[in-house]
Amino acid sequence: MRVTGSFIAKVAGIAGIIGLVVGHFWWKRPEAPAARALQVQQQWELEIGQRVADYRIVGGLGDISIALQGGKVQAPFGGEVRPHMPDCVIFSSPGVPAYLFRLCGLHRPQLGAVKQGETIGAGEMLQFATLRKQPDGSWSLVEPSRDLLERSLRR
Amino acid sequence: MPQSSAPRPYSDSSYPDAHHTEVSHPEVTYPDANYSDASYPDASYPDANYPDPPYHDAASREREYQAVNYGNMTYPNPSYSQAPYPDNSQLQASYLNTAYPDAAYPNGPYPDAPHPASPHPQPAYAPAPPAYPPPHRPPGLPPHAAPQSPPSYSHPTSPTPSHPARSTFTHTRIPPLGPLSRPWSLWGLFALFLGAIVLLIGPGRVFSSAVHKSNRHCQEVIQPQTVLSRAQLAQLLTIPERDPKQRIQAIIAEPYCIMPSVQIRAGTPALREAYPLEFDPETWLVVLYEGDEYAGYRFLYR
Repeated sequence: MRVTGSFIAKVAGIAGIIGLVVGHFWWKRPEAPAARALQVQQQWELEIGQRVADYRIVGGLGDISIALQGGKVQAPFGGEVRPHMPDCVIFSSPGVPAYLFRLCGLHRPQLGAVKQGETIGAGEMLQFATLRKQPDGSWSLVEPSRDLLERSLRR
Repeated sequence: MPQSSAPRPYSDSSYPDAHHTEVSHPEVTYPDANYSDASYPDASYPDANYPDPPYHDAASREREYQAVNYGNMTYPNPSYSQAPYPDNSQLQASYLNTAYPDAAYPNGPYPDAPHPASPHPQPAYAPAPPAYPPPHRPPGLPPHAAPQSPPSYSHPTSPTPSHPARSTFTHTRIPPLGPLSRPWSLWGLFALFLGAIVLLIGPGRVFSSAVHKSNRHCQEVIQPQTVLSRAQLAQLLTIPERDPKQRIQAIIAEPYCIMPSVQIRAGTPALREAYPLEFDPETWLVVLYEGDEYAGYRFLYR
């Protein structure tokens, strides 16, 4: 292909349009929300995030482990995803008071506001914890319902 | 037989497109005046001089083939067109000589130099001239006559071949294909398409935020006039979680609406009620009960 002036102009024009589109998405990116701390009411000796025998604990008592195998996790309600620990996020919904959901094991989860049914992230092994608010401000690990998990893992 | 010495004056003008479409008609296959029916009226063809069998021998087929392949072959001998009927002895010698020995034509059948009284029969009078271009070499062609590939029509802007000895049409120029050879208007459409996508993203988010203001959170509206005053809200916030449901309902009246029932904890259905704030109607207070227990509240910004 001969490199002519019009060819260079076309390439430059296309590159400019692509740059505008990329920049549009780049600058409209919402800022990552701040990490959310969490006080779990139950205290155990081995908890998620600790290390044992130089290995990292990725799930503890109270987590439901689900073999996602690359599957996606959807937001069961409209809400917000905030980082919590490395490899863990916390999902909460204003329509569901008194509950938090801790999701660990998702690769590159989508942080910030999510709509109902929107993908939070995907991963190989998901540790799903449901936490219920206590009067003292701490959160208690409770057993999630099957309906909630099915809403979150619907294909 | 030296094939490369045959004159092959190809040019775009010598191959009109009409030639293509009329190949199935023997009368118009050879529009050149030298080969037209007018030059050779049937009546002037003595049957004795042109018996049928010679037209079917290998040599005549070859001549047909070459004449077709080479198109309006211009024979340099002017006497050929002016005197298309050579003397009988030459015709007999050429027609009856099926093997076309080289000795009969020292310079080859189609020499470059003017050939005196070249006795080529007219292939236009063959019973069935091959369709142009001949897809295959006609049967019975001598093995030394290399089959000619059908001449490919060159691009109108390509130079006309001038060298008659050129064996293949290497000058044929195929227009370059590819996305960048498309007209600029297509690129303009592409750019417009991209711009439309960008423009559609912004308004889409505005519309989606407008959807948030609808009552899509509610499953059933109980009391449309219900609002929550500041005093009610302050009193409600003093009640700790896990207290009985009746303590909440003693402070606030019927809710504005009931949100769809969900089950968060296993075995415990949850009831969610929504109360718009009197001083901020766009903000709802959502209260969640589990059985007879007050589980908690949250503000929902619509």
